[in-house]
Amino acid sequence: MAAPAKILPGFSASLWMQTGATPVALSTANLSVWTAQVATIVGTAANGTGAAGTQLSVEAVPAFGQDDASASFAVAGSRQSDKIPTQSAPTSLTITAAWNPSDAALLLIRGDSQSGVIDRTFAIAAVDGVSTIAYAFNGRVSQFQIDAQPGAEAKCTFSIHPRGNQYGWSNT
Amino acid sequence: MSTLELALEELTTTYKDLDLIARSLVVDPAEIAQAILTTEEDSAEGVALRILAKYNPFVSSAKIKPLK
Repeated sequence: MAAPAKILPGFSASLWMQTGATPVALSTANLSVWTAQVATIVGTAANGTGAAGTQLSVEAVPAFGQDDASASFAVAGSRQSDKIPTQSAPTSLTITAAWNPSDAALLLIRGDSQSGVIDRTFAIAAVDGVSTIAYAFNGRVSQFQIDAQPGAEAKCTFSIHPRGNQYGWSNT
Repeated sequence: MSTLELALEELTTTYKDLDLIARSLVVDPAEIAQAILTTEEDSAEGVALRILAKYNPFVSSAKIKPLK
């Protein structure tokens, strides 16, 4: 089946993560494989199987991809200077979610942040009917804060730092 | 194991940059082209073969009929 062939609304995206306290993250090649790999992390709501994954109930899926970085050069005699892309980091995801202390996914995130060395596969799935396109990446959790202001529902904020070069696109 | 099998094993199990690794792997392009035909596209081997083909492009040696 092909990837969705239309402009997708933002709310069609959902965030999924591998379960297990000590998961074995997918290899770089498998991050680009939907069948039996990424599909096991993405749940049935997004056309996966969800056998080894769970959804992270987040307020919104943040921007993801690669950061910008470039070097500028002055070219003698030329009207314009030159700008060359240089090595840059994958974009870190800072995410806010409603804080439910019994939410299994958030407890895994909290545990990961306390460890700091757990590599886990995450997947962002965008769905259009029976078509899904997924961006899968391996990452570690760094920040994890709970904001328990009395005037609103408690929420938690956490950061996922994707590992360099460990990402892949796949689709149903 | 053949060179291709070793290359595939390395590419399908690594957590490193696939492009960076594939650049230094020298494999028979004809063997890669043949393997692509018989390998499931949506698999780790399929992903690895396509990256290998990028750096070991297959050029057919079949004679091209000259223009008159």
